[in-house]
Amino acid sequence: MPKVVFIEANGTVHEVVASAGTSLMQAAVSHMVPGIEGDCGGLCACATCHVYVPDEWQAKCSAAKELEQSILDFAFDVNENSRLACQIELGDDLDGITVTLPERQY
Amino acid sequence: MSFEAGDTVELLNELPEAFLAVTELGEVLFVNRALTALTGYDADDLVGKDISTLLPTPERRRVQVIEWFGRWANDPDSEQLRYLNLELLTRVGDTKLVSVRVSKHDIQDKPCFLVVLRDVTTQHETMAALRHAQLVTNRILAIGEDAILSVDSEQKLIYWNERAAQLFGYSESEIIGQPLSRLLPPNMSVDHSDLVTSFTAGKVASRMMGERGEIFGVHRDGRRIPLEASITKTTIDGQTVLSAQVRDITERKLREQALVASEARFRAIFEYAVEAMVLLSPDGRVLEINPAAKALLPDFEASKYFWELDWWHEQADPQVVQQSREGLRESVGRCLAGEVIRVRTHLGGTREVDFSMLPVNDADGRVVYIIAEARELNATGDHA
Repeated sequence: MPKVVFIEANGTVHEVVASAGTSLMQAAVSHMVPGIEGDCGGLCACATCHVYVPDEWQAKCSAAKELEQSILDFAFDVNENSRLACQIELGDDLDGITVTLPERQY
Repeated sequence: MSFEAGDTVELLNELPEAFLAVTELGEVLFVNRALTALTGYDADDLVGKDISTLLPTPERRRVQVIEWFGRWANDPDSEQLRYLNLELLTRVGDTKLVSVRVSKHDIQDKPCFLVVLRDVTTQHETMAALRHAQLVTNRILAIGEDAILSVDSEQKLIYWNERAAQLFGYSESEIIGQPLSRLLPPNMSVDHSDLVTSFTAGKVASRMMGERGEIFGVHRDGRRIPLEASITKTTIDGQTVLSAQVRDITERKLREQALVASEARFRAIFEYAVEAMVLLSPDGRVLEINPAAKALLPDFEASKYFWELDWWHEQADPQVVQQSREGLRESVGRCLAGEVIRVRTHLGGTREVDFSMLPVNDADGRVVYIIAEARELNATGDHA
Protein backbone atom coordinates (compact mmCIF):
# COMPACT_ATOMS: atom_id res chain seq x y z
CA MET A 1 0.00 0.00 0.00
CA PRO A 2 2.16 2.87 -1.23
CA LYS A 3 1.86 6.25 0.41
CA VAL A 4 1.48 9.23 -1.91
CA VAL A 5 1.82 12.90 -1.07
CA PHE A 6 0.03 15.43 -3.29
CA ILE A 7 0.89 19.08 -2.79
CA GLU A 8 -1.60 21.53 -4.25
CA ALA A 9 -0.36 24.66 -6.01
CA ASN A 10 -1.38 26.65 -2.91
CA GLY A 11 0.79 24.40 -0.72
CA THR A 12 -1.96 22.29 0.85
CA VAL A 13 -0.64 18.79 1.48
CA HIS A 14 -2.70 15.63 0.99
CA GLU A 15 -1.15 12.40 2.19
CA VAL A 16 -3.00 9.31 1.03
CA VAL A 17 -2.47 5.58 1.06
CA ALA A 18 -3.27 3.95 -2.27
CA SER A 19 -3.61 0.36 -3.39
CA ALA A 20 -0.67 -0.98 -5.38
CA GLY A 21 -1.60 -1.33 -9.04
CA THR A 22 -3.80 1.76 -9.16
CA SER A 23 -2.68 4.90 -10.93
CA LEU A 24 -1.52 8.09 -9.31
CA MET A 25 -4.64 9.76 -10.80
CA GLN A 26 -6.99 7.16 -9.28
CA ALA A 27 -5.29 7.62 -5.90
CA ALA A 28 -5.95 11.37 -6.09
CA VAL A 29 -9.53 11.11 -7.32
CA SER A 30 -10.58 8.39 -4.87
CA HIS A 31 -9.13 10.43 -2.00
CA MET A 32 -10.79 13.60 -3.32
CA VAL A 33 -7.60 15.56 -3.78
CA PRO A 34 -8.57 18.93 -5.28
CA GLY A 35 -6.68 19.92 -8.41
CA ILE A 36 -6.68 16.57 -10.20
CA GLU A 37 -9.68 16.05 -12.43
CA GLY A 38 -9.14 12.89 -14.51
CA ASP A 39 -12.02 13.75 -16.88
CA CYS A 40 -11.36 10.86 -19.27
CA GLY A 41 -11.11 8.30 -16.48
CA GLY A 42 -7.54 7.36 -17.21
CA LEU A 43 -7.47 7.03 -21.00
CA CYS A 44 -4.56 9.45 -21.35
CA ALA A 45 -6.94 11.63 -23.32
CA CYS A 46 -7.72 14.83 -21.46
CA ALA A 47 -4.61 16.27 -19.80
CA THR A 48 -6.55 17.07 -16.62
CA CYS A 49 -4.40 14.99 -14.27
CA HIS A 50 -1.20 16.90 -14.90
CA VAL A 51 1.33 16.69 -12.05
CA TYR A 52 4.96 17.62 -11.52
CA VAL A 53 7.09 14.66 -10.54
CA PRO A 54 10.36 15.75 -8.94
CA ASP A 55 13.62 14.51 -10.46
CA GLU A 56 14.32 12.02 -7.66
CA TRP A 57 11.07 10.20 -8.42
CA GLN A 58 11.14 10.53 -12.21
CA ALA A 59 13.69 7.74 -12.51
CA LYS A 60 11.48 5.33 -10.59
CA CYS A 61 8.42 6.04 -12.77
CA SER A 62 7.99 4.38 -16.13
CA ALA A 63 8.98 6.77 -18.91
CA ALA A 64 6.24 8.83 -20.57
CA LYS A 65 5.12 7.33 -23.86
CA GLU A 66 4.66 9.37 -27.04
CA LEU A 67 0.90 9.71 -26.57
CA GLU A 68 1.31 11.08 -23.05
CA GLN A 69 3.93 13.54 -24.29
CA SER A 70 1.61 14.80 -26.98
CA ILE A 71 -1.47 15.02 -24.78
CA LEU A 72 0.59 17.13 -22.36
CA ASP A 73 0.37 19.84 -25.07
CA PHE A 74 -3.08 20.57 -23.63
CA ALA A 75 -1.94 20.86 -20.02
CA PHE A 76 -1.09 24.23 -18.47
CA ASP A 77 2.42 25.29 -17.45
CA VAL A 78 4.15 22.13 -18.62
CA ASN A 79 7.83 21.68 -17.80
CA GLU A 80 10.38 18.84 -17.80
CA ASN A 81 8.85 17.38 -14.63
CA SER A 82 5.35 17.23 -16.08
CA ARG A 83 3.54 13.90 -16.23
CA LEU A 84 -0.03 12.72 -16.52
CA ALA A 85 -0.91 11.03 -13.24
CA CYS A 86 -3.10 8.44 -14.99
CA GLN A 87 0.01 7.04 -16.67
CA ILE A 88 1.94 6.38 -13.46
CA GLU A 89 1.14 3.05 -11.87
CA LEU A 90 1.74 2.88 -8.16
CA GLY A 91 3.78 0.09 -6.69
CA ASP A 92 5.91 -0.40 -3.61
CA ASP A 93 8.84 1.17 -5.47
CA LEU A 94 6.89 4.45 -5.49
CA ASP A 95 6.01 4.31 -1.78
CA GLY A 96 6.40 7.85 -0.49
CA ILE A 97 6.25 9.58 -3.88
CA THR A 98 5.57 13.30 -3.58
CA VAL A 99 4.12 15.22 -6.51
CA THR A 100 3.02 18.81 -6.86
CA LEU A 101 -0.02 20.00 -8.77
CA PRO A 102 -0.26 22.83 -11.31
CA GLU A 103 -2.38 25.91 -10.69
CA ARG A 104 -5.01 24.73 -13.11
CA GLN A 105 -6.08 21.70 -15.11
CA TYR A 106 -8.63 23.52 -17.29
CA MET B 1 -13.64 22.11 -55.28
CA SER B 2 -13.31 25.76 -54.44
CA PHE B 3 -14.96 28.26 -52.11
CA GLU B 4 -16.19 30.52 -54.89
CA ALA B 5 -19.86 31.48 -54.63
CA GLY B 6 -22.10 28.61 -55.62
CA ASP B 7 -24.27 25.79 -54.34
CA THR B 8 -21.50 24.28 -52.22
CA VAL B 9 -20.77 27.54 -50.45
CA GLU B 10 -24.47 28.16 -49.95
CA LEU B 11 -24.81 24.70 -48.44
CA LEU B 12 -21.86 25.29 -46.08
CA ASN B 13 -23.35 28.61 -45.04
CA GLU B 14 -26.59 26.86 -44.14
CA LEU B 15 -24.80 24.41 -41.83
CA PRO B 16 -25.87 24.94 -38.22
CA GLU B 17 -22.33 24.13 -37.03
CA ALA B 18 -19.41 26.53 -37.34
CA PHE B 19 -17.13 25.41 -40.14
CA LEU B 20 -13.83 26.57 -41.57
CA ALA B 21 -11.31 25.39 -44.12
CA VAL B 22 -7.61 26.05 -43.59
CA THR B 23 -4.47 25.08 -45.47
CA GLU B 24 -1.75 22.94 -43.92
CA LEU B 25 0.24 26.12 -43.51
CA GLY B 26 -2.52 27.73 -41.49
CA GLU B 27 -4.09 30.09 -44.05
CA VAL B 28 -7.85 30.37 -43.62
CA LEU B 29 -9.63 29.65 -46.93
CA PHE B 30 -13.25 29.78 -45.87
CA VAL B 31 -15.46 30.36 -42.86
CA ASN B 32 -19.20 29.76 -42.87
CA ARG B 33 -21.98 31.93 -41.52
CA ALA B 34 -22.31 29.96 -38.25
CA LEU B 35 -18.62 30.59 -37.56
CA THR B 36 -18.92 34.33 -38.15
CA ALA B 37 -21.93 34.32 -35.81
CA LEU B 38 -19.91 32.43 -33.19
CA THR B 39 -16.84 34.68 -33.39
CA GLY B 40 -18.29 38.08 -34.30
CA TYR B 41 -15.91 38.37 -37.26
CA ASP B 42 -16.96 38.97 -40.86
CA ALA B 43 -15.75 36.35 -43.30
CA ASP B 44 -13.52 38.98 -44.94
CA ASP B 45 -11.76 39.56 -41.61
CA LEU B 46 -10.62 35.95 -41.54
CA VAL B 47 -10.16 34.61 -45.07
CA GLY B 48 -6.51 34.83 -46.05
CA LYS B 49 -5.44 35.32 -42.42
CA ASP B 50 -3.53 32.86 -40.27
CA ILE B 51 -5.61 30.45 -38.19
CA SER B 52 -3.95 31.90 -35.07
CA THR B 53 -6.31 34.89 -35.42
CA LEU B 54 -9.08 32.53 -34.34
CA LEU B 55 -7.21 29.79 -32.55
CA PRO B 56 -4.02 31.23 -31.08
CA THR B 57 -1.53 29.05 -29.26
CA PRO B 58 -2.62 29.49 -25.64
CA GLU B 59 -0.28 31.46 -23.43
CA ARG B 60 0.31 28.70 -20.89
CA ARG B 61 -0.11 25.67 -23.12
CA ARG B 62 1.99 24.39 -25.99
CA VAL B 63 -0.82 23.38 -28.37
CA GLN B 64 0.18 23.98 -31.99
CA VAL B 65 -3.22 24.09 -33.65
CA ILE B 66 -2.23 23.06 -37.18
CA GLU B 67 -0.20 20.15 -35.82
CA TRP B 68 -3.20 18.96 -33.83
CA PHE B 69 -5.51 19.40 -36.84
CA GLY B 70 -3.25 16.87 -38.54
CA ARG B 71 -3.60 14.38 -35.67
CA TRP B 72 -7.34 14.74 -35.47
CA ALA B 73 -7.67 14.40 -39.25
CA ASN B 74 -5.63 11.20 -39.23
CA ASP B 75 -7.72 9.65 -36.47
CA PRO B 76 -11.15 11.30 -36.58
CA ASP B 77 -12.92 8.67 -34.47
CA SER B 78 -10.32 8.42 -31.75
CA GLU B 79 -11.70 8.14 -28.23
CA GLN B 80 -8.31 9.43 -27.16
CA LEU B 81 -8.79 12.81 -28.82
CA ARG B 82 -12.42 13.35 -27.87
CA TYR B 83 -11.72 15.15 -24.62
CA LEU B 84 -9.41 17.83 -25.99
CA ASN B 85 -10.77 21.30 -26.61
CA LEU B 86 -9.30 24.44 -28.15
CA GLU B 87 -9.64 28.05 -27.10
CA LEU B 88 -11.35 30.22 -29.70
CA LEU B 89 -10.70 33.96 -29.62
CA THR B 90 -13.67 36.10 -30.65
CA ARG B 91 -13.48 39.50 -32.32
CA VAL B 92 -14.08 41.30 -29.00
CA GLY B 93 -11.33 39.30 -27.27
CA ASP B 94 -13.51 36.78 -25.41
CA THR B 95 -12.35 33.20 -25.24
CA LYS B 96 -14.70 30.33 -25.96
CA LEU B 97 -13.93 26.69 -25.51
CA VAL B 98 -14.60 24.67 -28.66
CA SER B 99 -14.53 21.00 -29.48
CA VAL B 100 -13.36 20.27 -33.00
CA ARG B 101 -13.79 17.58 -35.63
CA VAL B 102 -11.29 17.65 -38.45
CA SER B 103 -10.92 15.94 -41.83
CA LYS B 104 -8.34 16.43 -44.50
CA HIS B 105 -9.21 17.15 -48.12
CA ASP B 106 -7.37 18.48 -51.19
CA ILE B 107 -8.76 21.76 -52.44
CA GLN B 108 -7.34 23.02 -55.68
CA ASP B 109 -4.55 20.44 -55.25
CA LYS B 110 -3.62 21.84 -51.86
CA PRO B 111 -4.12 19.64 -48.77
CA CYS B 112 -6.51 21.43 -46.43
CA PHE B 113 -8.19 20.80 -43.12
CA LEU B 114 -11.97 20.97 -42.95
CA VAL B 115 -12.88 21.83 -39.38
CA VAL B 116 -16.21 21.83 -37.55
CA LEU B 117 -16.18 23.70 -34.26
CA ARG B 118 -18.75 23.42 -31.50
CA ASP B 119 -18.95 25.88 -28.61
CA VAL B 120 -18.74 23.85 -25.39
CA THR B 121 -18.04 26.77 -23.04
CA THR B 122 -21.32 26.58 -21.11
CA GLN B 123 -21.27 22.80 -20.95
CA HIS B 124 -17.70 22.91 -19.72
CA GLU B 125 -18.39 25.58 -17.09
CA THR B 126 -21.45 23.67 -15.86
CA MET B 127 -19.46 20.46 -15.61
CA ALA B 128 -16.62 22.23 -13.82
CA ALA B 129 -19.07 23.79 -11.33
CA LEU B 130 -20.72 20.41 -10.75
CA ARG B 131 -17.38 18.72 -10.23
CA HIS B 132 -16.36 21.42 -7.80
CA ALA B 133 -19.62 21.10 -5.85
CA GLN B 134 -19.26 17.32 -5.86
CA LEU B 135 -15.71 17.53 -4.58
CA VAL B 136 -16.73 19.86 -1.75
CA THR B 137 -19.68 17.61 -0.84
CA ASN B 138 -17.56 14.48 -0.98
CA ARG B 139 -14.94 16.02 1.25
CA ILE B 140 -17.61 17.02 3.78
CA LEU B 141 -19.05 13.49 3.72
CA ALA B 142 -15.60 11.99 4.00
CA ILE B 143 -14.78 13.76 7.25
CA GLY B 144 -18.30 13.32 8.72
CA GLU B 145 -18.47 12.20 12.34
CA ASP B 146 -21.12 9.68 11.35
CA ALA B 147 -20.61 6.71 9.07
CA ILE B 148 -22.26 7.27 5.70
CA LEU B 149 -22.96 4.49 3.25
CA SER B 150 -25.13 3.93 0.19
CA VAL B 151 -26.52 0.82 -1.45
CA ASP B 152 -27.96 0.26 -4.91
CA SER B 153 -31.28 -1.41 -5.69
CA GLU B 154 -29.66 -4.82 -5.15
CA GLN B 155 -28.55 -3.70 -1.68
CA LYS B 156 -24.92 -3.72 -2.69
CA LEU B 157 -22.68 -1.05 -1.21
CA ILE B 158 -21.73 1.74 -3.58
CA TYR B 159 -20.57 4.48 -1.18
CA TRP B 160 -18.56 4.23 2.01
CA ASN B 161 -16.93 7.07 3.91
CA GLU B 162 -13.91 7.04 6.19
CA ARG B 163 -15.98 6.87 9.38
CA ALA B 164 -17.83 3.83 8.00
CA ALA B 165 -14.45 2.19 7.42
CA GLN B 166 -13.48 2.86 11.02
CA LEU B 167 -16.84 1.74 12.39
CA PHE B 168 -17.09 -1.56 10.54
CA GLY B 169 -13.41 -2.33 9.95
CA TYR B 170 -13.58 -2.62 6.15
CA SER B 171 -11.73 -0.33 3.77
CA GLU B 172 -13.62 1.24 0.89
CA SER B 173 -11.98 -1.04 -1.68
CA GLU B 174 -12.91 -4.13 0.36
CA ILE B 175 -16.56 -3.28 0.84
CA ILE B 176 -17.73 -1.56 -2.35
CA GLY B 177 -19.84 -4.05 -4.31
CA GLN B 178 -20.43 -6.25 -1.27
CA PRO B 179 -23.98 -6.92 0.00
CA LEU B 180 -25.31 -4.80 2.85
CA SER B 181 -26.06 -8.01 4.78
CA ARG B 182 -22.34 -8.32 5.44
CA LEU B 183 -22.70 -5.51 7.96
CA LEU B 184 -25.71 -6.97 9.77
CA PRO B 185 -26.06 -9.75 12.36
CA PRO B 186 -26.94 -13.02 10.56
CA ASN B 187 -30.29 -13.33 12.36
CA MET B 188 -31.26 -9.79 11.35
CA SER B 189 -30.23 -9.66 7.73
CA VAL B 190 -33.39 -11.23 6.26
CA ASP B 191 -35.73 -8.97 8.25
CA HIS B 192 -33.59 -5.96 7.51
CA SER B 193 -33.56 -6.79 3.81
CA ASP B 194 -37.40 -6.85 3.88
CA LEU B 195 -37.40 -3.49 5.68
CA VAL B 196 -35.13 -2.01 3.05
CA THR B 197 -37.32 -3.37 0.26
CA SER B 198 -40.41 -1.94 1.91
CA PHE B 199 -38.75 1.45 2.43
CA THR B 200 -37.68 1.47 -1.21
CA ALA B 201 -41.24 0.79 -2.35
CA GLY B 202 -42.85 3.15 0.20
CA LYS B 203 -43.73 6.80 -0.15
CA VAL B 204 -41.56 8.11 2.67
CA ALA B 205 -38.39 9.75 1.36
CA SER B 206 -36.39 9.75 4.57
CA ARG B 207 -36.47 8.34 8.07
CA MET B 208 -34.56 10.17 10.73
CA MET B 209 -32.47 8.84 13.55
CA GLY B 210 -34.47 7.57 16.45
CA GLU B 211 -37.60 6.86 14.39
CA ARG B 212 -36.68 3.22 14.02
CA GLY B 213 -35.15 2.58 17.41
CA GLU B 214 -31.91 0.77 17.93
CA ILE B 215 -30.40 -1.52 15.31
CA PHE B 216 -27.24 -3.56 15.32
CA GLY B 217 -24.35 -3.78 12.92
CA VAL B 218 -21.49 -6.24 12.89
CA HIS B 219 -17.85 -5.23 12.86
CA ARG B 220 -15.41 -7.18 10.73
CA ASP B 221 -14.17 -8.89 13.91
CA GLY B 222 -17.71 -10.14 14.68
CA ARG B 223 -18.46 -7.61 17.40
CA ARG B 224 -22.08 -6.38 17.50
CA ILE B 225 -22.35 -2.61 17.41
CA PRO B 226 -25.50 -0.81 18.61
CA LEU B 227 -26.44 1.76 15.99
CA GLU B 228 -28.85 4.50 15.20
CA ALA B 229 -29.46 5.40 11.56
CA SER B 230 -31.15 7.93 9.31
CA ILE B 231 -31.95 6.71 5.83
CA THR B 232 -32.96 8.44 2.64
CA LYS B 233 -33.69 7.26 -0.88
CA THR B 234 -33.02 8.80 -4.26
CA THR B 235 -34.56 7.35 -7.40
CA ILE B 236 -33.13 8.55 -10.68
CA ASP B 237 -34.01 6.92 -14.01
CA GLY B 238 -35.66 4.06 -12.15
CA GLN B 239 -32.56 3.26 -10.14
CA THR B 240 -32.95 3.71 -6.40
CA VAL B 241 -30.01 4.50 -4.19
CA LEU B 242 -30.48 4.22 -0.45
CA SER B 243 -28.14 6.17 1.76
CA ALA B 244 -27.76 5.86 5.49
CA GLN B 245 -26.09 8.00 8.09
CA VAL B 246 -25.13 5.59 10.83
CA ARG B 247 -24.07 6.47 14.36
CA ASP B 248 -22.35 4.17 16.80
CA ILE B 249 -24.25 4.51 20.09
CA THR B 250 -22.00 2.19 22.12
CA GLU B 251 -20.55 5.11 24.09
CA ARG B 252 -23.95 6.65 24.64
CA LYS B 253 -25.35 3.37 25.93
CA LEU B 254 -22.41 2.99 28.29
CA ARG B 255 -23.00 6.52 29.54
CA GLU B 256 -26.70 5.79 29.99
CA GLN B 257 -25.89 2.62 31.93
CA ALA B 258 -23.39 4.52 34.08
CA LEU B 259 -26.04 7.15 34.73
CA VAL B 260 -28.60 4.52 35.75
CA ALA B 261 -26.06 2.88 38.07
CA SER B 262 -25.12 6.25 39.54
CA GLU B 263 -28.79 7.09 40.08
CA ALA B 264 -29.33 3.72 41.78
CA ARG B 265 -26.39 4.35 44.12
CA PHE B 266 -27.63 7.86 44.92
CA ARG B 267 -31.13 6.45 45.58
CA ALA B 268 -29.69 3.78 47.89
CA ILE B 269 -27.91 6.40 49.98
CA PHE B 270 -30.78 8.87 49.96
CA GLU B 271 -33.65 6.47 50.51
CA TYR B 272 -31.99 4.43 53.25
CA ALA B 273 -30.19 7.25 55.09
CA VAL B 274 -30.92 7.43 58.82
CA GLU B 275 -30.74 11.21 58.63
CA ALA B 276 -33.70 13.16 57.33
CA MET B 277 -32.61 14.71 54.04
CA VAL B 278 -34.26 17.18 51.71
CA LEU B 279 -32.77 18.25 48.39
CA LEU B 280 -33.59 21.84 47.53
CA SER B 281 -33.25 24.02 44.47
CA PRO B 282 -31.23 27.22 45.05
CA ASP B 283 -34.44 29.15 45.74
CA GLY B 284 -35.49 26.68 48.44
CA ARG B 285 -38.00 24.58 46.50
CA VAL B 286 -38.23 20.96 47.57
CA LEU B 287 -36.86 18.66 44.85
CA GLU B 288 -36.48 15.40 46.75
CA ILE B 289 -37.33 14.26 50.23
CA ASN B 290 -36.19 10.99 51.77
CA PRO B 291 -38.21 8.54 53.92
CA ALA B 292 -36.33 9.55 57.10
CA ALA B 293 -37.49 13.15 56.54
CA LYS B 294 -41.03 12.02 55.83
CA ALA B 295 -40.96 10.16 59.16
CA LEU B 296 -40.48 13.52 60.88
CA LEU B 297 -43.40 14.90 58.92
CA PRO B 298 -46.31 12.61 59.82
CA ASP B 299 -48.76 14.65 57.82
CA PHE B 300 -46.33 15.23 54.96
CA GLU B 301 -47.79 16.81 51.92
CA ALA B 302 -45.69 17.95 49.05
CA SER B 303 -44.94 21.60 49.65
CA LYS B 304 -43.34 24.13 47.46
CA TYR B 305 -40.69 25.55 49.75
CA PHE B 306 -38.55 24.02 52.48
CA TRP B 307 -39.82 26.40 55.16
CA GLU B 308 -43.42 25.50 54.28
CA LEU B 309 -42.91 21.85 55.32
CA ASP B 310 -44.89 21.01 58.41
CA TRP B 311 -42.09 20.24 60.86
CA TRP B 312 -43.89 21.71 63.91
CA HIS B 313 -45.93 20.07 66.62
CA GLU B 314 -49.63 20.66 66.10
CA GLN B 315 -49.84 22.40 69.46
CA ALA B 316 -46.86 24.65 68.83
CA ASP B 317 -47.34 28.35 69.31
CA PRO B 318 -48.31 29.75 65.87
CA GLN B 319 -46.20 32.83 66.46
CA VAL B 320 -43.15 30.68 67.21
CA VAL B 321 -43.89 28.56 64.13
CA GLN B 322 -44.10 31.68 61.98
CA GLN B 323 -40.80 32.97 63.38
CA SER B 324 -39.20 29.57 62.78
CA ARG B 325 -40.40 29.45 59.18
CA GLU B 326 -38.94 32.92 58.62
CA GLY B 327 -35.70 31.74 60.21
CA LEU B 328 -35.50 28.75 57.84
CA ARG B 329 -36.30 30.93 54.87
CA GLU B 330 -33.52 33.34 55.81
CA SER B 331 -31.15 30.38 56.30
CA VAL B 332 -31.83 29.16 52.76
CA GLY B 333 -30.94 32.64 51.49
CA ARG B 334 -27.65 32.62 53.41
CA CYS B 335 -26.90 29.13 52.19
CA LEU B 336 -27.42 30.31 48.60
CA ALA B 337 -24.74 32.92 49.32
CA GLY B 338 -22.40 30.03 50.16
CA GLU B 339 -22.77 29.74 53.90
CA VAL B 340 -23.07 26.38 55.68
CA ILE B 341 -25.96 26.72 58.10
CA ARG B 342 -26.73 25.01 61.38
CA VAL B 343 -29.85 26.12 63.15
CA ARG B 344 -31.74 24.63 66.10
CA THR B 345 -35.49 24.99 65.93
CA HIS B 346 -38.18 24.32 68.55
CA LEU B 347 -40.96 22.27 67.11
CA GLY B 348 -43.28 22.72 70.07
CA GLY B 349 -43.52 20.76 73.29
CA THR B 350 -40.19 19.20 74.11
CA ARG B 351 -39.23 18.58 70.47
CA GLU B 352 -36.30 20.29 68.88
CA VAL B 353 -34.60 19.81 65.52
CA ASP B 354 -31.12 20.66 64.35
CA PHE B 355 -31.32 21.76 60.74
CA SER B 356 -28.14 21.93 58.70
CA MET B 357 -27.97 23.28 55.18
CA LEU B 358 -25.09 22.74 52.79
CA PRO B 359 -24.73 24.50 49.42
CA VAL B 360 -23.68 22.31 46.44
CA ASN B 361 -21.72 24.17 43.78
CA ASP B 362 -21.20 23.43 40.09
CA ALA B 363 -17.85 23.69 38.30
CA ASP B 364 -18.30 27.48 38.00
CA GLY B 365 -18.92 27.91 41.72
CA ARG B 366 -22.66 28.53 41.37
CA VAL B 367 -24.97 26.99 43.96
CA VAL B 368 -27.11 24.44 42.11
CA TYR B 369 -28.57 22.52 45.05
CA ILE B 370 -28.94 22.88 48.77
CA ILE B 371 -28.87 19.74 50.89
CA ALA B 372 -30.90 20.19 54.06
CA GLU B 373 -30.65 17.67 56.89
CA ALA B 374 -32.83 17.55 59.97
CA ARG B 375 -31.83 15.81 63.17
CA GLU B 376 -34.42 15.54 65.93
CA LEU B 377 -33.16 16.09 69.48
CA ASN B 378 -34.82 14.97 72.70
CA ALA B 379 -35.51 17.27 75.60
CA THR B 380 -31.93 17.05 76.87
CA GLY B 381 -30.52 18.08 73.57
CA ASP B 382 -29.23 14.65 72.60
CA HIS B 383 -29.79 13.05 69.29
CA ALA B 384 -33.05 11.17 69.47
